[in-house]
Amino acid sequence: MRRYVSQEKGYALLVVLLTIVITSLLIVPLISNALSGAVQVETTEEIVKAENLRDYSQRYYRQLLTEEITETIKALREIEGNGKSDREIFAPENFIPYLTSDIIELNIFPVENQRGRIDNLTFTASTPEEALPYLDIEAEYTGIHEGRAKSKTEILRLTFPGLAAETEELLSDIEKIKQFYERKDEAAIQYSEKKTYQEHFNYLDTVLYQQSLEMSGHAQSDIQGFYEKDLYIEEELDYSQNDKIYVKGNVYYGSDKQLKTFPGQGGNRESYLIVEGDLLVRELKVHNNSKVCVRRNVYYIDRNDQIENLLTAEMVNPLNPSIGESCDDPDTWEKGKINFMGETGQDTVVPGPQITPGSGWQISTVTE
Amino acid sequence: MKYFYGHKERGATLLELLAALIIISFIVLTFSIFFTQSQLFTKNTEEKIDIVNLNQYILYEAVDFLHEGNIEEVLQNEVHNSYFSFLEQSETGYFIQGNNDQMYYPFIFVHRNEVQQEESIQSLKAYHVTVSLRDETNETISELYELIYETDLKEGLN
Repeated sequence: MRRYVSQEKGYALLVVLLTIVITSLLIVPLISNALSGAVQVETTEEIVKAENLRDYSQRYYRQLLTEEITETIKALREIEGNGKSDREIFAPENFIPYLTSDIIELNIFPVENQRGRIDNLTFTASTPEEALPYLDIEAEYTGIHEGRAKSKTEILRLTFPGLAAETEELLSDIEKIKQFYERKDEAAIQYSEKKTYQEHFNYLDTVLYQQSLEMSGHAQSDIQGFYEKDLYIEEELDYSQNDKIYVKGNVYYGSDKQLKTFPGQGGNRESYLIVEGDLLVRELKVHNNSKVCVRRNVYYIDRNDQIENLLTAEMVNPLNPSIGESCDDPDTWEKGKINFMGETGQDTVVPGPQITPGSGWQISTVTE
Repeated sequence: MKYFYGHKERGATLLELLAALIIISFIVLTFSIFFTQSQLFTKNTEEKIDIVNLNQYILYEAVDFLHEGNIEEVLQNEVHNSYFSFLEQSETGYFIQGNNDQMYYPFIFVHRNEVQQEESIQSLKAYHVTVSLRDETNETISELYELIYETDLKEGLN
């Protein structure tokens, strides 16, 4: 041994071997680096595909749920439709259990080979005390590609703003009507004496008649009156055959007397009253030859000018709720009745996807 | 080797030189193999990225095209590829070219078939679109799916 060490022959080999060891040590991280790049690409590819499958599952489930809700609504209406109103049928305490059981029974397989999945369905319903009823449906979507899974959880929320929104709407309408008749004395044009018209007239502002309003053109000369804003009549509206009154705003008719057609005897032609807004009446007396059309609603007011009720379709006489498409075609109106369409003043379109027409239920995504 | 210890020497022997040469050539050879391998690797991974990208591109293009109101027409025909103008056609069929001038053969398939015993895509009011890419041996190398809602189609038409 000693001989070899002192001789130093073949030392070059040692140096070369050392170099090889050092070089190979350096190569290892280089190779692993290159390999990890490849692995990363592989992983990314798997992730992209798994995410695609997961998103597919999500779309699939949303659509399935949408369809299921529509079906449930149809079925519920068929089962309980006799005599019950939509309001009752789709009340949360009725609708939520029914829908929940329907969804649980669903078989959910988004992709044929089942590489996309929907798991962990949970339902959370609102308590009866909550103002806005809802049903939260939580689901986990998973996409699997080459063993790599990508998941996400989403909550679909079904809300039932129907009741809340409607009550609010009705309240705000009544509030508006109140404001309307409370502003009676602020009308821009006021007549304290009886006002008689012999020819066509047009008002651009609000008008108040403290006494009667009479259109006294004889049968041959029909008078047309236009009110661009509101009209208040405290006494009597007295118009003759073929006369026409058109009001763009609301009409307040605080008289006990009926809406007349013609003062004298004879004649059988109609007179028209068209109201684009609401009509407030104290007495629902309409002459046999009067044609009245109200685009919005008819309210009955008492002697103290308080709204007693909103007149509805159930109160048949002298209201006719079943008129044609609009107030544009007088032939469809019934004579001697107040024809009203019951249109609501504001847009009733609720933001967000409305997938449940008629039932008052809406679906929205809470978290993604 | 006495050089290292401060002794004078005439130079390395021929034998030493030869040995060094052989060793170095081994190292160089290993390195060159490694580099060619990594080059191949890079090419391969690039191709893979390319394939996924192309697959996604075709899927989006197809979905866009179907949204334009052509879906029923496409459904009536068995060969769906012919509807998609962004595909090139040769004797071997419809193809699309990757970044490395590699040819891929896409297969676009739209259906409303059953997905399980009772449920069908049709009853879901949706269409299922599959876009797969195949290589020369007709082996599927990538596949992506999309679901198109009927309601979205109507919006697309408006």
